[in-house]
Amino acid sequence: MGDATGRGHGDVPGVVWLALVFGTAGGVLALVAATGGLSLPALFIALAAVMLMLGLAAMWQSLRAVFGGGPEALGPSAGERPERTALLEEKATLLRAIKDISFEREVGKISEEDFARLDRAYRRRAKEVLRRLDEDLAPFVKRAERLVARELGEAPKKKRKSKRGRKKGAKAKKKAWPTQACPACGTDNDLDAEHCKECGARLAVRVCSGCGTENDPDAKFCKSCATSLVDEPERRPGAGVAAAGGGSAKEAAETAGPEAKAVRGAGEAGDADDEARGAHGEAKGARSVEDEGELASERTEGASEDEASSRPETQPASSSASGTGSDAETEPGDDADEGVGEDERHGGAAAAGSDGDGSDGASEGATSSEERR
Amino acid sequence: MTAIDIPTLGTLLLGLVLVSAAYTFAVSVAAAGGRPHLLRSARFGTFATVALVACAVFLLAYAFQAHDFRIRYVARYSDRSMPAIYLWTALWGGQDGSLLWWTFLSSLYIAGFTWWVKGKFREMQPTMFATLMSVIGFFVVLQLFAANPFQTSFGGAPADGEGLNPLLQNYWMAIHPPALYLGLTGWAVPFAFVVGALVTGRLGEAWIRGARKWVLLAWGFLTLGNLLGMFWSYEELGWGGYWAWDPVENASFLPWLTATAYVHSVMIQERRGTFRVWNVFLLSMTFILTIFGTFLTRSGLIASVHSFARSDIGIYFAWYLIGLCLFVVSLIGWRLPDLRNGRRVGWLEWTVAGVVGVLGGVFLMLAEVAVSWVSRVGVLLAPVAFVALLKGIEWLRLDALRVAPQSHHERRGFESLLSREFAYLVNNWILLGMAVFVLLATTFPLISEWLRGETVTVGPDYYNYWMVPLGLVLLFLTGVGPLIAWRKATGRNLLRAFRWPALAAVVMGGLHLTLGSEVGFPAFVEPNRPYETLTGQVLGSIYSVMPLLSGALCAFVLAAIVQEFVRGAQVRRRSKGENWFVALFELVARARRRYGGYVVHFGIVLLFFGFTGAAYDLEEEASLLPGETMEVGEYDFRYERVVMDEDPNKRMIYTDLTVLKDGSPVARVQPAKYVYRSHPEMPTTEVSIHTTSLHNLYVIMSAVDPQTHRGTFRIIKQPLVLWIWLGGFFMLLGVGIAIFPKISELVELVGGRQPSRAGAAVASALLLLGAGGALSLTPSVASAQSDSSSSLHAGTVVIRDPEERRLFSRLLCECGDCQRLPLHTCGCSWAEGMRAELRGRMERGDSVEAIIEGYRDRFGAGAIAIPSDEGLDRALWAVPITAIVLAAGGLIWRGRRWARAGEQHTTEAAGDDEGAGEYDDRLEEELRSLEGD
Repeated sequence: MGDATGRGHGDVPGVVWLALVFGTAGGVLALVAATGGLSLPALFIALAAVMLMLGLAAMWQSLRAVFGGGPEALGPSAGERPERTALLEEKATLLRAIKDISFEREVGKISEEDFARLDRAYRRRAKEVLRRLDEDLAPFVKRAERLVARELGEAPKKKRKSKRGRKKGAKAKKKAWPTQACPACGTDNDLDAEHCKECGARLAVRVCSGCGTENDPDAKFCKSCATSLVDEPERRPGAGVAAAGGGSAKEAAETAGPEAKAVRGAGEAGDADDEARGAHGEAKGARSVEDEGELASERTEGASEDEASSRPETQPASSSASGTGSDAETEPGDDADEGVGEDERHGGAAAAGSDGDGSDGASEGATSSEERR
Repeated sequence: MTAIDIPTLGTLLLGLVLVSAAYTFAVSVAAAGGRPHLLRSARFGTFATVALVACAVFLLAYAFQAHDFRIRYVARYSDRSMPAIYLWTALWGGQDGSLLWWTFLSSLYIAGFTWWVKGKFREMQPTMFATLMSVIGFFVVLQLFAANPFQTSFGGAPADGEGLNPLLQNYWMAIHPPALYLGLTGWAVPFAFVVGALVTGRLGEAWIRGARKWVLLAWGFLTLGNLLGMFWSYEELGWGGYWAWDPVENASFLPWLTATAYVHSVMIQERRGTFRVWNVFLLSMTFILTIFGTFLTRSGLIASVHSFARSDIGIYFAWYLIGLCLFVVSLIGWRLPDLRNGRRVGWLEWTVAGVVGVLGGVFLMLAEVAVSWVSRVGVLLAPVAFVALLKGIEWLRLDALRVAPQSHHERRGFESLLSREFAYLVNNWILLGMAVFVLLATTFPLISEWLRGETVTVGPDYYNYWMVPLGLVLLFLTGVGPLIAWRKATGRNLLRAFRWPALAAVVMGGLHLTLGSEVGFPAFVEPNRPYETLTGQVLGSIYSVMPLLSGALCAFVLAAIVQEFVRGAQVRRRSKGENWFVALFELVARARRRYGGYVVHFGIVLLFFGFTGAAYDLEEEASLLPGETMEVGEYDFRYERVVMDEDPNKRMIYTDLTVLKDGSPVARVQPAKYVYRSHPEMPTTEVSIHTTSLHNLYVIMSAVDPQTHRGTFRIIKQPLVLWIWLGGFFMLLGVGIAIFPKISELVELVGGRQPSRAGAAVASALLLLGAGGALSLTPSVASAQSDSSSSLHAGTVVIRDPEERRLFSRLLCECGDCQRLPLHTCGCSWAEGMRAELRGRMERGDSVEAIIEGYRDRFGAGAIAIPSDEGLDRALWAVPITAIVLAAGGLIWRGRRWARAGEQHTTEAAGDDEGAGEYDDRLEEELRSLEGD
């Protein structure tokens, strides 16, 4: 009865239930032992009583859930896009095939010529599948990049993320983009921006990423804490791609190694996450970039709150990307078993974007991969 | 009288279980239909149902312990003198209680599954819960309306119960039925996976990975159950054998065959994404066969030593089976376009259906049975109607409702017929062939009765003759499969792989031919025929060379397995520089399913080795006075004395015999008879077995005269029986290796919190499993069937004459009590008298055939152990054998087409590798992260 552990507000934790049940049973046993000695009939009637109580308790939990009580369970996601699932499954079988024949060669069951031919054929197909998997994600990655950029520009204060998310997203956080606010309209701009991207006003100051002090735009070091203000933006773009999506996925792969996977996984993770919430309708309605951004931020918010309800220690976080990403990691993470998201393991960052329009993108991705075929 | 009204409470509880199961079913269906928040309700509903079933079981256990004889079931299967342990085993001692016990064991699986599945397979979960609840629901309905274990006795509670049958009062009753039930009920979970995958349309490889461990677990328990069944039969029933092809044994053997086929063919799907329909079919079939087996034995339709009293639950099972089959067929039909990547039911299906129908019609014609034209047309059209049903569902889906088929990645055929994939298909062919054969033979009495109103008996010898060639083919394939490479084996490498095993087989065969007779295991045994026709002669010849073939094949497979381990370890030694032990350990640890499978194969080899010994069984029967000696092979048995003993429960009469070899005593055996006070009319026979690695000496005391102390003994020298139990142990060990979870999986199972606890739980469960196997190795004294109140006869009676043995093996004892035992094993007085009478006729020069004919005229066709080789009886073997041969042809024909397609594809795909260089590293990375196996 592992699930008896209720987690919501006002819910009796399962441990209490179990304690109650076993306590009662123990009491009954003690009573019987005191009166007539512990006999086998007494043992069996006690066991029956315990089972009855457990059954009724489970039934109670079940009925509560029917009528909307109890902790909210995350509903099932509505299913993956078949094309992508098919590709992932083919990838799995191809990897298995390559592994098989190399083992068979090692134990000398397959001739060198056959091995070379088969190995080449399988590897070629596997690479093709990997490429198509990437292509499949390309629209998501673009969208993710755009939306994350927008998101960071608009609502940096709203972002929160879970403890676990922070752990996973720690790397991402370090690389997260420090911004400066436009003195005219308040829009967040990149640190090295000279003009506000919203109103075009000249950005007069350069905010220190370390302590937040405002410096002159041409300052090389922070006047308060002596943090270098020059080096950072130069180092940033490569890593930043992974965290917030400033460049192309290819660039990211070259510069950031494992983080490249984050981008690849992002669209998918967000996709699953979105569907998990049953937000098809909303997402489909959200056509314009404007709406998408808003929705994305709302949904990120929702996701964080959802996390918060199950993990009270949730803390505000600086990056929406990692917040949602962690959600994608923890909740639909189980789906990884089902072959959905082999690539999601690093989906810790930059997932907010596709969160808003996952299903929309899904159909796009589907069509495009159909066309390629 | 107890204060609580237990019968009412129990019936109420069963009703509650039904309500709970129905509620959970409804909630699950709702959850599947777009209300995902109800999944939690379904989960808890499942737990509630399971807990309530457990409550009902404990309540019944209480009623037994408290002697609540108001309950009819308690009154019939227990009495006040029974010890507590048998009061517990009486829970499954009769029909009604064993149904409850069956439900309980199912619900244990369901509880484990529900716990395990949390957070996995969210989309499939509701459907899976609904499926499992429907199974529970059916069994509860059965109990509530047809076989209620809480039913009260008519006319109030008797003062004491009738007591449990003495046969069932032994410790094997505590082990054997639960193990077998665990093996049978376990298939509900894999079936739930199938239904979940089909309903939700997640037909990829995900559900297969999820179901893998559940399948292996159920397979392990089914194997254990079958082995314990053999052991129980050997130790308890006292007829000197371990497998009698009884309907109950067949009922658990059939799902074992299909499940074994699935375990192999699923590996092709994991590697290629093909054979989806086939795997779904095999797994559904396995589940349906477990239900079908229960139906066969519970309905009393077919006579069996295990059969429960004829009851009216058969009709419930029949309807459930029909519903189940229709459901599965429609479901598969609905998903057929997805499973087959959009390909429609085509000319191939129609052709196969047509051929099957025509063959059926031809057989009916040849059978010269007066069947109504409705039946004839029915047999002709049934396969066609089946395909038409599939076609209709397909039309509904694709043309009427226009639900587009899912696509999955393209199918690419095989690279070669000489590949492990194809070897697995051939393995599936023989396993399914055996299943069809056994199924037809088991149900033949029913078919015969339906077609011509004549009951026939299909005795163990029929199976023994026909299964020998099939089993040898299976054994051969067991060795060949691992030798062939995945994907493509090439001539030279194949030769290399086959070199040592083939050499081993030749050496073994040579040794057998030259030395076999010297050590008592000649290469050929006396030919014996089941029929007097050509078929009978062919079968007889195969049977007579069976020891030679079997020995050589055992050596072949053994060498192949050893070679696999050695080669794998060599690779590790070369690449990792490990020493032999480390390399072997790492090899197995990294690919546990593969090498666990080889260990199972090793067990199979030992099993076959043990079966071969049955060809050398030597049986002697003698009536001796104390001090006299009888000779069985190279052993002498000196009858020493009679020892009487008594305990509150029973009177015991032991007879001491000393076993002598070359004049010196090697062992003492003590067969006995027990007379229970509650059942004085049913004395039980205690078999005494002396086990050595080469021979088992199976000593049965048929009767002893209390005055003169003259004892009648039946002694069977059975070579190599020990190896069967050893083989069983290795099979279980192999399954254990294959399913033992990784530490990370254990951590995941308990939500990442208490790995130690879950580890302990799983490990102990596996240990129990192994211990069951190990336990089966301990020779023991056992109480056996009451087989004789035999009149004493003087002198030594030996069935050594092959003609005599052939005759008696084909006639069944007709005394009324031991219906299914052939005359050459039955020890009852009627059989003894009949043997004497028939011996007289043989001495007068009557031919075996004439005597059999006479016996048939006297007692009816049901008294002949092997159906004749003419008319409808011929269809019994001709239909499955034709099917097997046709299927082999079809398989090779299809296989060549697959191989051509695959070859072409590979040639195309292996062209120049342009660009894509950036993916090389990623591919390497992915390959490294892929686990072994």
